[in-house]
Amino acid sequence: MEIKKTITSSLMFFLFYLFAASSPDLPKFSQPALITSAGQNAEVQMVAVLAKRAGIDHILNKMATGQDLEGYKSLLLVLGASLKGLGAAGIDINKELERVKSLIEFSRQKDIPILCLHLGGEERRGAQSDQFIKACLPAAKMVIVVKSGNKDGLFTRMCQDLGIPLVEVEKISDALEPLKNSFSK
Amino acid sequence: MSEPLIFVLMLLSFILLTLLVRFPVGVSLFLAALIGSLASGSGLPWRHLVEGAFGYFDTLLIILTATIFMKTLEGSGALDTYVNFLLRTFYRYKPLFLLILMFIIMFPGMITGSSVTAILSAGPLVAPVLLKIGLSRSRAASFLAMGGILGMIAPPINILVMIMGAGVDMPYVGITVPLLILVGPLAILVSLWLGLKEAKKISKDDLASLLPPSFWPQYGWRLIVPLLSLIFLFLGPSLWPEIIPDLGLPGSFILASLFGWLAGRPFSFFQATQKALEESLPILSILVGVGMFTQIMTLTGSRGWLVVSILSLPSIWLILAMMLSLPLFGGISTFGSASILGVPFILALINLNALFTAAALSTFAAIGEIVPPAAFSARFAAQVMDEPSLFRVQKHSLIPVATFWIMGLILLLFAPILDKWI
Amino acid sequence: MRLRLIKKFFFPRLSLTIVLLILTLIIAFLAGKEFLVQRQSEPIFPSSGLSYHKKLSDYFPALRNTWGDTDVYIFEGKEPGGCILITGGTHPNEPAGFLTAVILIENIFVDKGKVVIIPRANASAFTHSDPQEGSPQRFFISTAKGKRFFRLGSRLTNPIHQWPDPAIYINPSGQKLSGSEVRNLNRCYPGRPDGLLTEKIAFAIMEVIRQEKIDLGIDVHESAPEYPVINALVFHENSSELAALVAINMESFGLKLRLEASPPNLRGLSHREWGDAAGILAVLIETPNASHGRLKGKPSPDLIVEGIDKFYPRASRSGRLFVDYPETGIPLKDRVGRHLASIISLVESFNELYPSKKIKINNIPDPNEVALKGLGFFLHSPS
Repeated sequence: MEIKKTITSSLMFFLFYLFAASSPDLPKFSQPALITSAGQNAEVQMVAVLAKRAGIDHILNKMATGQDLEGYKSLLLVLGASLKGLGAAGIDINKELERVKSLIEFSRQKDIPILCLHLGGEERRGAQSDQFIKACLPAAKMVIVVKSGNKDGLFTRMCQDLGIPLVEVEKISDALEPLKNSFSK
Repeated sequence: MSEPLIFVLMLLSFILLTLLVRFPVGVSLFLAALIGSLASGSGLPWRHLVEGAFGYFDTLLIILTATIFMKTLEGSGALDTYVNFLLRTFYRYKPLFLLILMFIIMFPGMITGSSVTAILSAGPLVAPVLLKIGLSRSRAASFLAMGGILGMIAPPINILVMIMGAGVDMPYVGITVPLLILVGPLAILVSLWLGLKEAKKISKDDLASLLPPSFWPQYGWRLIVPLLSLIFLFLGPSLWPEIIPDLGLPGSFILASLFGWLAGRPFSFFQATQKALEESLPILSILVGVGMFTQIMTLTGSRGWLVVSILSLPSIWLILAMMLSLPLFGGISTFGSASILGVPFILALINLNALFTAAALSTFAAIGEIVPPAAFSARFAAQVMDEPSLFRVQKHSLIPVATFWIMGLILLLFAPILDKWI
Repeated sequence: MRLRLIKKFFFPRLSLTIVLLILTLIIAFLAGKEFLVQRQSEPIFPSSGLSYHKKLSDYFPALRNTWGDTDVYIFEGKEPGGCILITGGTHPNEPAGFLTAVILIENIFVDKGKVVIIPRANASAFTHSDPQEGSPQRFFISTAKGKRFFRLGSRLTNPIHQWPDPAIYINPSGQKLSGSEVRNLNRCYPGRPDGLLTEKIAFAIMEVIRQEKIDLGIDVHESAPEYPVINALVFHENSSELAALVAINMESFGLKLRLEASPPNLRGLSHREWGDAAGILAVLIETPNASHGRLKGKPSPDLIVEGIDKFYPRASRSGRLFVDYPETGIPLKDRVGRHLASIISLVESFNELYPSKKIKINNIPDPNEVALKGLGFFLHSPS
């Protein structure tokens, strides 16, 4: 009898835990949102498309700095360095880091929550991209990552250490749902 | 037959044909290509042989017309006059004099991109001077060979870089500065190393007996016209593209040659072209042969094998492989080395500035000019100087060649810094 | 003295020279016959949905009776809508670009809007092959009733049709390039009406864009597996939203698309000048093609069609490539399939962004079916 009770309760607890783990209480973001990249990658454009599909009031500003955040209620940072993108923007990686840090600093002062997205997968990793990931994650309130970009578990580790919810998605289009949910009222 | 075996077979047949049967290099390359094709079961691929032969068609025209231009400079007395002027002006200062001699040898190579043309055109003018200032025959021959090689890689025309650039879609633009950075110090180091020890100051009378005649009194400034017109035809189209049409390098050389014909001492233009053809034919035939050889290497898959094997090397080995394989292959053909090995090397170093890489690689490949079996520059320099021992010429060239290696390596290693600086 | 020296070195005997000369003539004759084969054009059998079959010279008469003139196929829907231009064969050594255009011409019907297809954008470049690449002249695809042949040409205009190259080419957009690029159609945009043959072709294609009032231009290419821009879509900045949508839509085919912004300082390319000079949405798509890479093993028609290569998988393992190259190869049907998926996604995304200019194309072969049934299933039988 006792054993049965233990099993049942632990099973219940386990089920509850499973449920809780599969749909964690995700933080909420408000509109309007400013979308920019950390590293001038091409995925920032895709996030803008996803935001449009999700019906989020947003603006895409590839070169936004702290001041540009004025009036926005959340910041979407799309992580990953693209040398081509940096070249096209005419800046080097240090300038870009400075820009991103000014954004983070401003959002900290004004209490604007940051949602980080990494959609480029495995190819959008490596030393330069990781520089941006490491600079941005500590300021994030939530992270969405395409699975293949987290093969080495960097996002899992960092998010666990920092206590930030991490949402893994299979492919870019799957990021639509969590994005929609985090902006829904 | 597997790809590496075919490659070895083609290489061996080429070496045997040139060294033992003593066929001309171009013909040996053609026959080696044929053997490779038969061995791989590709039969007698006439289209491929002809197509490969046309691979360097424009380069052939550049070499031929540039040689015609050199012949008109000789024929019109312009070259004699230039050399006379330079020697008379600078003979008093020994180091400077050596540098000027080096420059005179390099000049035809700079314009034609061919070291042999440099050695054959300027060699006879400089050879007696080198002996007179006290250089031994073998050392003077080495001086000559090095001048030819430096002229070959110096701007404005470096055919090795052109060949490599064509393989990676890199325009032949903006290469002048990297090449100058490379060749400038090398020219100074090499001429001083080879010359300073043995050379003595030369008296005015000694010099007078050696000087080629100056035609300045008769023709004056007209003697500069061919050179000026060539510079104008080279630079004009990019400075004023709307006004001056680009004739291409061969067209520019021919037009400048015609100016040369009209400008100075009268000579037979027809004969000059004949002489130019005869003189450049060996190099032209080699390039045709290299073209066929490369095409058959590709056709049999052995080019792919070679390229992939090189690319699979770890990066330290890659640089070592560059420094060794380019000169070794250059010993068969410098141009072939640039085309077959140079291109994959540039691809392997794609994150470096391709211009610097190509400049450095052209230095490594050019070392092949003194490497057996062909050792063209060393061989021709020895012949011009009447030096019987090729080996002695090569021995004197060892240290200069080492500086080539070092400069090339420096350029490769510092490419990222130089890239920013320029 | 010098001449004697050379003679001693290189001309052993006069008789040998004569023998070699005769041999050369024989070889030239044999090779010449083979070279001429490459001038025979492969037939294309348009679907019954074709509205007009025009020539490029109809748009720019100066091209008439030149090797630059080429076929233009127009599919017009009953209902008005947007207009798409698809160019294949800009580089005839990139077979998936050409084949994608052919497959579309032989299959599609347009209900709404207009589709203009130029399968052999640089017709002259189809008439010769690249020296030192050892390429076959043709490759073959089996259909229900017999084999079809297709030519593998060169990246550049035939030098017999345009020669000589300048030392440095300054293209119509003012960019300095190496001399041979003067024969590269995808460096000559927006062309010159009074320029060289390739520049005239580029100008004529711009005329097609202007006269047919094109909204979106798709230039279909391939690249060697060792090049960074691969499985990619290069987009003009005016098409960045379209490109992002396409990348997301491509995921429904299980395909990942690399996005590359067209660098503003790289001039003369379709994805730059179509957008800049004609103001249309402009993209260029790339798939991996082993047959024009430098690392390829023995070239053959099979290498083009099956994509199985001896050395690319090795290079892939040592991390030298920008794409995974499996032992089983990347066959032409997969590359064409990928291009078709891109084109389907482009049309879908275009419709989403510009609903007033909707385009409806029917019967584009499904990429998965192409992979399953092969290209021959979607091609007309020969004759």
